[in-house]
Amino acid sequence: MASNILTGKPLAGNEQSLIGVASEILRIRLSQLIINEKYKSGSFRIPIHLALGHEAIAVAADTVLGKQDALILPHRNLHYNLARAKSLRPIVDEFLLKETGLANGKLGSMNLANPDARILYASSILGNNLGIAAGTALANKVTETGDVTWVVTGDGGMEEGAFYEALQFCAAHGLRLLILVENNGWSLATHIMERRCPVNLERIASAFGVPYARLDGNVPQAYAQVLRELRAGIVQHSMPAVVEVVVKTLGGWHTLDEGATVPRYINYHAGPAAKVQLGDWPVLEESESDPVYVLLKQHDRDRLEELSRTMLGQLLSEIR
Amino acid sequence: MNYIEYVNLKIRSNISTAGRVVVYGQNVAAGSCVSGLAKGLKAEKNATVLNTINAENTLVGVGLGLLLNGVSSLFVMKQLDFLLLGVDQLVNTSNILRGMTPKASFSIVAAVVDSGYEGPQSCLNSLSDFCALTRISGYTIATKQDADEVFDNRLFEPGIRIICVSQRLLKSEIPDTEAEVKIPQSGIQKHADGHDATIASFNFSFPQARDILMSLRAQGRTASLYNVNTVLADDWTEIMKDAARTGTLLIVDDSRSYNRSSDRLMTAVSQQEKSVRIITVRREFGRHWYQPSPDVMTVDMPSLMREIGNV
Repeated sequence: MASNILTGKPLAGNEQSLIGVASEILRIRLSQLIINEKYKSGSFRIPIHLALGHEAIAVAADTVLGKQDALILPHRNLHYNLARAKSLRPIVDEFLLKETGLANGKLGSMNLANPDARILYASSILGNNLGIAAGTALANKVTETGDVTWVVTGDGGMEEGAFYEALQFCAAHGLRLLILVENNGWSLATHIMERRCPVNLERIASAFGVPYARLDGNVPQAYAQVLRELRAGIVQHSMPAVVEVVVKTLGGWHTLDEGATVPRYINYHAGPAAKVQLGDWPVLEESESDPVYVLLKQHDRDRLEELSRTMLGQLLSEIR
Repeated sequence: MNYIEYVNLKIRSNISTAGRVVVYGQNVAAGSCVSGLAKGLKAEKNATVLNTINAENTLVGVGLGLLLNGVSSLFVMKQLDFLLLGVDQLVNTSNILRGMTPKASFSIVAAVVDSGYEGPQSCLNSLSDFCALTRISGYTIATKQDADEVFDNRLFEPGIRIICVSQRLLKSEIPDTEAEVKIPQSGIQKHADGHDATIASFNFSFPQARDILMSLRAQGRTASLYNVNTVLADDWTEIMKDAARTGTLLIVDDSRSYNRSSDRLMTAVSQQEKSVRIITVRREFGRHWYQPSPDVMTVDMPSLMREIGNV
């Protein structure tokens, strides 16, 4: 039975779930902020894509993932790796390319996989992981495991032809695939509105005859409920499904170019979040775009802040 | 037996004795069954046969995804140039898999469109280009011995590979030799032993190399004949030793590329066996190389015989 991180006392069912989720959101956020500090100080030579603001979907997916379900990730995978590994040290060591790293220092960040935690593959190439996911789903079918393959892509990844190929392949062969599209609106420094026409993903899913769901609001329990129902449907009907998750990658900043009158937003894509500081209370934006801020809907602020302080101490101690 | 019938026989017989395997591709079990390559394949206890959509990038990814999960597969495709759409997977994904010890195999069997008349879009069609780019093992099937060696030993060997057949040879009798074929560790076959020259054939040029050998024999001369079916071959010890003995190395290569395997042999011999005379019979890029044409590598035999004889 889980215990309260602050008191050490066993938690009741609902409380266990609420505190457990809050702890995970805070752990993944604080872990990223610690990594960000090291990144800013020049400790890492590899490119790292922080996922500040993406914590809710990672926690929800981690909760619903079946024991042998496979998770296939893109280059921005830190939140899922933190959620699955349950610890920070091996990931920091991996980013330092140490043998004690999660992948013995051989994969770095963009390709970071963790087969023991069922993260089978991660790709730095947009759309590349969809074919691998289709193959994994086909392997599950021919070996009759009944497991579901989860693949994470983004609003940029779904622009690649591989998205349509993989969706069609899996629909055609009745493969159990759950495609998570993290829509943060950005592809490098280009916003979605600057680079393409609006794309109705629900209609695309419908065109292939597969279910679609849209997640917004950053409440992990609500996300998990939808994912659980979709997963059950995928298993029952042997078919893929598409989930679009609205996320905001936090930590960007505004800059005023010479001669300009309106500040320009910098989506930092990879690299450290230069303006973000590590602190006890890791809210980055007071809105529903920030999964940590959303926790305040379910928890008392003082209690959350105390939980955050304790968590930060534990994480700093872990990597000391 | 003709070339495509023999290749098909080897594929079918190896599938029947393989463990669990997925065979897939466009039309693998429909129509001509990929020019006869996949003719007669059917789902069996151990084999899943899938006619697929036209999606080469994903289809290559599917094979690599199956491999990642310990399931062997065979992707049969009509033309090697279609594989350009899957190059991302072949380069980037396979580079990740290199760090693992595969328990399953992923083989791509494709036809090199070397018949010449397909035109501009079938011009980048040399297996050596793909292998140079991807560092994935590649094998060409030019002889019956190639088919035996590659399909029996490589088709379901753990790991990734591309195996190519020649579209030009599909309906011809499969080149065979009665001589004892030695297959040293390098994967290079020796079809004949002689004193006056060392012939090394690459890609699908074994028929031309054999014609050269016959012409030499008709003049009372003998030559050693090697066939290199491994595109990334780099152990030239045996050929170099033989060339040092005969004094003449004749390279016969019908691949049209700036990444030819035979270039590596030529470099090795010119650096390490400086006394060996090198003669090449190769297919060069003509002025209109991208337009439909016969595109067959022809050998000017009288001139070549004079050149070989002019020691």
